[in-house]
Amino acid sequence: MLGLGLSLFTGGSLRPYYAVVAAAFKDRVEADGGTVESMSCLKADLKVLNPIKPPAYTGLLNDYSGAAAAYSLRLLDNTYSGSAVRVRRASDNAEQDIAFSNNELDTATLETFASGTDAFVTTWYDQSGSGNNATQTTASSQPKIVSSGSTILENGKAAVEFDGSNDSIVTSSNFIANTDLSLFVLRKFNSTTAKPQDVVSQGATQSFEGFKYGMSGGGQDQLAIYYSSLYVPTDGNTTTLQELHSLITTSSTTTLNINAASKGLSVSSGGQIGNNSDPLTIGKRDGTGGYYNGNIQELVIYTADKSTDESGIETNINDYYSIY
Amino acid sequence: MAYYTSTTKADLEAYNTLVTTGEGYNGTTPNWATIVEHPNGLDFAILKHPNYDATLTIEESLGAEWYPSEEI
Repeated sequence: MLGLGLSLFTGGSLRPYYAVVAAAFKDRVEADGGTVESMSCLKADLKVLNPIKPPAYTGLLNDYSGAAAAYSLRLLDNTYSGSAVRVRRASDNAEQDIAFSNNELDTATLETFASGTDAFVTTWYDQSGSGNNATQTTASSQPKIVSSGSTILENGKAAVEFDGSNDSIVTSSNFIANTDLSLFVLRKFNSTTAKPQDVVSQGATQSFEGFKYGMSGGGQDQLAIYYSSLYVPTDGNTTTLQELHSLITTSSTTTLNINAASKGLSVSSGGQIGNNSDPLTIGKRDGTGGYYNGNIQELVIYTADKSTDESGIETNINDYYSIY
Repeated sequence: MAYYTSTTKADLEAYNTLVTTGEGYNGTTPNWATIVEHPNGLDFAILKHPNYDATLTIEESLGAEWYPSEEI
């Protein structure tokens, strides 16, 4: 049985499905004594009668399920029906949820709502289904998403901008404790002058047994796992380039990829996240200080070892954002 | 970013209320700013809103001593 969109071998050559069907139809009509005036019209008619449906959208979480939290400005799961973000506009402080259009942030609705002014993220919704939304209830600490009426973009895609002074968003509860961790974040520092800066963190100090990931006081990309006193700087300084960082840490190993390339680490041992009860903070060090000056476009977290899926997840993200 | 500082936390809380009420924050945004506590436990600071003034000490920025991050 033939399927739509197939091509067929006929007469030793590969021909589009519609051309084959149209030719067969023409032959039959003529065999019955009729005529077909226009093959191109006939093929067009067949397409109307049997339209080829576009393939269903498949998001990152459809292919790689089980995330504990997933924040993005694109749709990550075709079963997710919620919004991407809730925003506050500067003109009158009204708030509105902004959903997706064609699987991307609905920037048209966003900019219409912003009405020529700035707009800030009050909630970045979790698309994982776990309900780990990240919020900021304090106006001056809300990261920006629209500047003077225009969506903030990074390499042509919408981004959430943290100002490096007092912006952050926080989940309502802890969801990373006593576990392996796989974290994928698409980030771009806008400035690396102030040091240290934390892109994500959990627990203010070692005593909280959480972790932090960002730029160290020495200016390097760094993971710190407080539970095991593991401080893992990379072999290179933090850049102001748009980069996809893939971080996986288990009881036995810790790895970091930047743009899908493995980075050298100063230690080769591993460390799970400890027994803590802190929420996840995005945009600063939990507690005070360490504010991140840069943009985030996507942050997906698994409380599991996703080594076997790492390459696929990186490819999915890069296929959309064209990072490297 | 300018900040108001005070040794009386209530003064800064009153300023926060002033701005929050004046701006009409609502929904999921009930506050203007978070009051920063100096590690010495005596001094406090709040971000100044450009449209609201108060008779408080103003600082053009907060020094690093306000944020004693671990240098790691």
